[in-house]
This record gives sequence, structure tokens and C-alpha cells, in this order.
Amino acid sequence: MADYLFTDNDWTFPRLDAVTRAIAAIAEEELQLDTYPNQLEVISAEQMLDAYASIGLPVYYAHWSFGKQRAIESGQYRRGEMGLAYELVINSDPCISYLMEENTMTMQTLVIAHAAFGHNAFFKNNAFFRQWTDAEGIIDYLAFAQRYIAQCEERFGMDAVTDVLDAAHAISRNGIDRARRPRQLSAREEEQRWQERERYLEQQVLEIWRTLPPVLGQKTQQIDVFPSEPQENLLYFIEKNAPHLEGWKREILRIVRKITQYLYPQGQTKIMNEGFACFVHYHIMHSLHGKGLLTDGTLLEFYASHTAVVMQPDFDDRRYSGINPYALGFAIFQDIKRICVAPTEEDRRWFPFAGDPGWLKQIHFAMREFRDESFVLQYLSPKVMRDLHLFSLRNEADEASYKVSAIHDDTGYQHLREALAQQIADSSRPPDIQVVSVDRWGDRHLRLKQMDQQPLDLEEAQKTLGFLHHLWGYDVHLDIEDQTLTAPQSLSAD
Amino acid sequence: MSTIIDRRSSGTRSTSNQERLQRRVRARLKKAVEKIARSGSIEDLANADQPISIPTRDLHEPSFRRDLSDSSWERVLPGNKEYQRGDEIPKPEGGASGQGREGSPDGLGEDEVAIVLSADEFLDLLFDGLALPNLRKTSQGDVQAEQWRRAGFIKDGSPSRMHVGRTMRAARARRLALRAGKRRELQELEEARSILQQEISARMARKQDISLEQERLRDLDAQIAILTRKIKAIPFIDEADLRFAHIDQQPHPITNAVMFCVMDVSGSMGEKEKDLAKRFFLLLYLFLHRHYQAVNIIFIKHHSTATECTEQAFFGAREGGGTLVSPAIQLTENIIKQRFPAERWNVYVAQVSDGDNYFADNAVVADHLDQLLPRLRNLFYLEVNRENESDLLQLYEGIAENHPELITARASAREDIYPLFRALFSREELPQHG
Repeated sequence: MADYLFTDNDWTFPRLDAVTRAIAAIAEEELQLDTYPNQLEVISAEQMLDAYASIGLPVYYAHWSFGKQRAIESGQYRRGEMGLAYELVINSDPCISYLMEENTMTMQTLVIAHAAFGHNAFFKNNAFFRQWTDAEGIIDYLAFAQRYIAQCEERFGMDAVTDVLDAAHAISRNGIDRARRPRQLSAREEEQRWQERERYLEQQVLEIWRTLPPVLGQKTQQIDVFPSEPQENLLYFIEKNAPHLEGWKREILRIVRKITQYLYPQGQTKIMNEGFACFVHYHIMHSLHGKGLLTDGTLLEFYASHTAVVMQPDFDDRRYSGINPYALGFAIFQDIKRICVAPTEEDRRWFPFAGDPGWLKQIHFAMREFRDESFVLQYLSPKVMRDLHLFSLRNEADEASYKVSAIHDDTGYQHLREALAQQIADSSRPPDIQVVSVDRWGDRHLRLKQMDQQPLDLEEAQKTLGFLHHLWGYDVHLDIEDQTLTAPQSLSAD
Repeated sequence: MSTIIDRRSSGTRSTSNQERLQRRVRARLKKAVEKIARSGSIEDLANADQPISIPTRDLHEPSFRRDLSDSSWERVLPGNKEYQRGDEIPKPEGGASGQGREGSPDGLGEDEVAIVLSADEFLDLLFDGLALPNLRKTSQGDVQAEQWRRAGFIKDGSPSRMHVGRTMRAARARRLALRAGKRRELQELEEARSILQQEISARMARKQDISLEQERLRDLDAQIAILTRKIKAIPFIDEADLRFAHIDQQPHPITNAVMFCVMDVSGSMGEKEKDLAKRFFLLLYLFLHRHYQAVNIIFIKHHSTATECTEQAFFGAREGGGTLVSPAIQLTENIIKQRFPAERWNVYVAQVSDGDNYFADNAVVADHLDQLLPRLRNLFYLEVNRENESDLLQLYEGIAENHPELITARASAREDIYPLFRALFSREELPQHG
């Protein structure tokens, strides 16, 4: 038997190193995790707050909204209303994990297992991340973005840049390609491309405003609809087609779009990502203890933090603030293992893989091939629903009471599963608003249309249209079911 | 492969965001700061470090989002205890609209952001757009002096300016960086070597052939020797490590200016009057300190006699006695003559009094002012807490008709001081001095 990795609870760099090695061995041998190389960074609480303010990204351009975020969070932190996360991890290659200096050695061990191996493996293997993000290029690209925007501030003034960023942020949630994979980004290419474009800026011809007479003899007049199909990516559409937008503004829109796109999978896989990381740390901590590398005391301390993290408060609990992604994700992953190892009759009815001796294969498959919505739809088992005592509540606007539409019983399982998947899908998707037409030969107004049925916050929409107008330069209209909103003429409306 | 980096010393990087945030809410911050200046206590003013709350609606970031308040939805909740399918739960009082908010995707709910201003930021906002009127930068007395200033560290310089601390730091960083990889490699080799040696002795014990192993051992030894040599060959100090303290000559405009703060501390100045006077002088003091590093400030307090005093004595002054204004004017005159010749200095006087002067003294004051005023850029006279204009103020106003550099004002409440101060020092509102 090996010696304990540590017996008292102060962390030191050699200990971190030893623990990381021990965890790496388990991750590789027992869980067969394929990870990016790790870069562990020890940071202070202040720095953690910084990282929070910039969505965890290590380099980010400057904008007042990040300052606002930080002011809110540091206020909460100082008043004791909010604890800081023990760790933060970035989907990059090498994978950067932040460890808080306040953590005890046990916590550092937990955090390394959770972030540096759990999240890391998820980033590298989940199909969604593989398809939509480029871990290798991101840090360089962020540095490029930061530099570029700083340069713009110098050349065109801070206020002008802020206006563009405000507008870009307002529509950034509608600036994501959901259907096709964006091209890989490489910072150097980007920079080159931008410089080239600067050079040719003067000669730029915008296809949709082309007014050269048509070539004689060619049949002209087909019905003139632009764009030919509705466009869901507003940021992209504006960037490419706004009539009078200066080159640098287009580049800023592009930067916001690229970064939003990079962050897109994180919002789509929160339950899975956290669930998988919890599953990994749970396995690793037990394995370390089993090998005699951790003391019983350490294991107990681990249990205390682990249970706090995966705790799901009941809906009538004061602490309740929605479904806890850690709790749900962890429960489902643990359950997949259980269904393989010790299936019940019910499991066999629900899951074709029940009783599969290769539980690890099933876990890997689940981790790789799904996102939250499909993951819940595929794997949320009756047992987990019973354990969490899930039920669904239906609200009709004109009725006096809510109705319980399903509970965790035989008649309700299927409905619950679907309702939860739908709920997850809705919460991670902004209203579907698309560009339907541009009046090319008239007053150049831009027409948007809401494509889904969900009611829209009209006041918000009005303000957002103001930003769109600012970028587009001409009138912007939004068609909603039975009415049309028009953008206010100036931004000062808010 | 894992790397561990200690990032704690690299500090926070939020300043640029903070700066932009403050820029954004500048108008509101300014209002808050001015409110403190108007009605806060003097201590508040002197050490401004309290957070200022800004309502988040000023900082709202709109986007297309759903309206959850008034629609049908279905939601899955955990922790069912007694509900069965089909149960109906009455909606909470106040209608459905209260319910929707909790689902809002951006977690609204905090409605204020607290922004903490540093003392400098506070003062910048407080004195935004203010300046000493009629300050002449290029009159004869102003020298465009060259000054030696420290200007960071450079890699190249005269040996006498070598900075040992910085140099050794650079050397250490270089040594660490160059060694780390090799050390790690060396450690691995040595581990491999000890394993190999164990194997050799094991094989020897079993009397097996060890020629192959010995060859590998020799190989390892050679590699170890090379690595050790490489590590040793890393120089303790290298030319690239050298750092030199850099000093640079920078032009240093000198705007010679002196402000005389003349305060009446006679018996007629009650608590309230003194508070008003001190507020005014404190603002003046903070303003001058913040914006004009090179401005001299002379404190003079007077009752029936006038004395020059220190800053502490001035702001802490508690005296009494009769009032004579002329000694203060005379003292000012003398000090100017002795130390601040008018052709080389921008001279300002700020005088605060309740206007209670011994009536025979007024004539003397008028005489002296006639002498003094042409040498001044401005004389600010502030009369505090009077129902009616005093004889002294009337006298001053009379003089002011011929001398535009004399500016008078009256204040009777705390709240008046700051606006008045702004009016006196704002760039446009003052009559231009010929």
C-alpha cells in the first residue's frame, strides 16, 4: 500500500503535483478519459471575481457590462450572500483550470479531479463541443479580440466602440449558427484577413446594394426578395449586409459573434457537463481512498462538499432556485452506471443497454453524443424521477389555479421526461427572430419576424430594435403575430 | 501532462472594465458625489470612500427575451410530497404576473450596483470642469524647467546605474526557466537508472547475463552526464539579465500660483459660520491639491490680529475676540511682498468672514485693497450667514466696480457652499480678467 498523499489539509505545490499525477493515473486507467493537457492555475478570490465577470475567460476585451457584473458579484460576495466557486475551467487546449487559494488540500484534490479531468474530458470528447468550438485557437483569438478592440478605442474613441459593443451584445443571443458548424478560427489568419480587408475597404461593393445596370440581353426581373431565405443569425446578417457600417464595426460584430458561438455549447450542456464532472470526481476520490492514498478524514470532508454541491432543494424550500444541474446530471450518470451494473426489471423495460457489462462504454457514449435536451430525453430514468420526486405543473394564463399534470408514477414518467427536456430546450434558446426581408430599392428598411409562438417581452424587444437600428442605419421593423414593432429612432430612448 | 502555475501575484485585471462602468454612469455618480459635497459631513468629504449605489436599470442590457409573466407554461419541479396527477393548486395572491419573474434567464432581482470610488476618482468627479480662473502659464515668472525623472528600467545603460535587484531577479527567472525542463528530464533519467540498477543486481543474483543492461546503464550515465553539464553550464548571470535604472529629462511646466486662505475666527463667527467657512476652505484645499500640485497655500486666520498658521491650526481653529479685517489684508500684503512677487506668481486670495468689522476699520481695508488688488489674479470674498449685506460686503462691492478681480458672494446654508464653489471656479462663468 502506498502512503497517504497528504494527512493535514494545507496545500503546497509539490502536493498538488503529486495529487495530479495520482488522479491522472486513475483517470486514464480506470475511466479511460481522453483529456487535453492540463494547466492548473492557483488564483486569489479577487481574481476569481474577475474571471466571473468575463464569463470565465482568461482574456477578454473591456466593456462596462463586465464591470457591472463584477460590481454586483463582489458586492454579494462581500455581504456573504454568495460563495465563490471552488474552481473555474476553460475549454482550451491546454485546458486551463483555476484553483482558489483558499481551498483546502482536500478541496484542491476534488477540484482537480472535477475540472482538470471531468470537464476537460467532456470538452475534448463531447460531440457538441467538438463540432462548435476550437479549443486550440480560443486563447489566441481572445487576445486578438482584446487587442483589436483596444485599438479601435484608440482610433475611434471609447464611446463609439461602446455603442457598437452594446448593440452587438443586445443581439448576441440571436447571433448563433445553430445549424451548421462555423469555420475554425485561427488568430493569425483572423488578423491577416482583417488587415487585408482594411486595405481593400475602399473598394468594397455590397452585393445587395449593387446598382450597376444589368447586363443587356439578360433576363432580369425575378421577384426581388433579399435575403432569399429567412436568416436566423442576426449578428451575421448585419455584419455582412448593413449598408453603411464601417469596417471596424463589422469586425467588432464578428468578434462578438465568434465568442458567443464559442460559448454556445456550454449553455447547451450544463447538466451533462457538470453531471459528468461530478461522476468523475466521485469515482476518482473513492478510488484514491481505496488505494490508501487519502485518509478517512479527507474522504469525509469530500463527502461534505460533494453532497452540498449535488443537493437538490425541494420546490418549496427557501433555497430552491430551479433544477440544480449538478444534482440532475450526477444522478443520471450514476444511474447509467447502476442500470448497467445492477439493472431492475423496470430498467430492462426502459433501457436497451440495461445489464451491459461495459458500463464505462455506456458512460462514454452518453457523454460524447448528447446535449442536455437529448440527454434528459434519453437517459432520465423512472428511478431518478422517483428519487428527485419530480412532478410537473401546468399554468394556463386565464385559470385560477395551477394543475399538476404528471407525477413520478407509471403514468407520468414519459410525460415528465418530455416536459423537462422541453423546459431545458426553451430556457437555453432565445426567441426565434429572423430577418425576412430588406427593402433594397426603397427606403432600405429591414424586416424581422418572430418565428415561434412564445410571447415576447415587448418593452425589451423595442429597446433591442433600437440597437439594431443603430447598426443597420435605416428603419427596422419586427413582425409579431398580430402587430409590428418599429425601432425607435435614437438610442437615447432607454 | 500537467503544469501548475501560481497566478496569485499577477493581480486583478478589472480596472479597465471598472473605468468604463464609471464612465457610463458618470452623470449619476457626479450627482451622488455632489450630494455628499452639499450635505454630507466634512469628514465624508475629506475621506470619501463609501460606495455609491447606482440603480441597475441605468445599466440595463436589453435583448430579445420571452415574456414569462402572462402565458401558459409547464414546468417540472423537484420535491413532490403529496400531489397527485390532476391536483389543482391555487395561484398565489396578486395574480400570475408575480410568478413569472423567477424564470427570467438573466437572474434579475438585484436592483442596485454599488460602485466604490477611490479618493482621487471622487475628487475628479467633484471638481470636474473647474479651474483656477485667470491662471497665466506663460508670464515671465513661469519657467519651463527640465526635471530628471525616473522612467522605468532599460536593458542597456551606464554601469553606475545598474539596478542590482532587477538584474538578479531577471537572472533568477532565466535560470529557473532554463533549468526546469532539464531538471525534470534529469530526474526521470535518474529514476530510470536506479530501476535499471536494481534490475542488474537482481539479474546478477540470478547469475543471468547483464551485458545488455550494462550497456544501457552506460548510455544512461552518458545522458545524465550531458544533462548535468548542461545544467551547470547555465550561467549564474548573463548579459541579457542586466537591468539599468533609467532616468529621463522631462520638461516640467511650472505654474507658479499661491492661494491665500483668509478666515475670520473672531467671536462673532459661531459654530455654524465656522462650519460654512471651513467647508468652503476644505473644498478649496482639496481642489487645489488635486489639480494643481504646484500651488502654494498660505493659511491666515484673524480676529483683531492676524497670524499665518499651519493647515491643522487653520482647520482646527477655535478662537474668539473682536474683529479687524485690515490686519489680515496687511499680513497678506506683506507676505506677497516678501515671498511671492506678483510678477512671478499668480496670486489668489480667498477670504471668508461674517462681515462683522469694526466700523472704523473699513476705510483702512479699502485703502489696502486698492494697493493689493492690482497684484492679485482674484480675490474671492465669501460672506457667511447674514440676513443683510454687511457694511464690509457693501464696501467690497463698491470696490469691485473698479476692480473686476474682486468677486463677492454670500452663503447662508451648508447646501449653498458647493454650488457657490462651482460657480466661482467653473471655467466659463467668470468675467475674464483683462
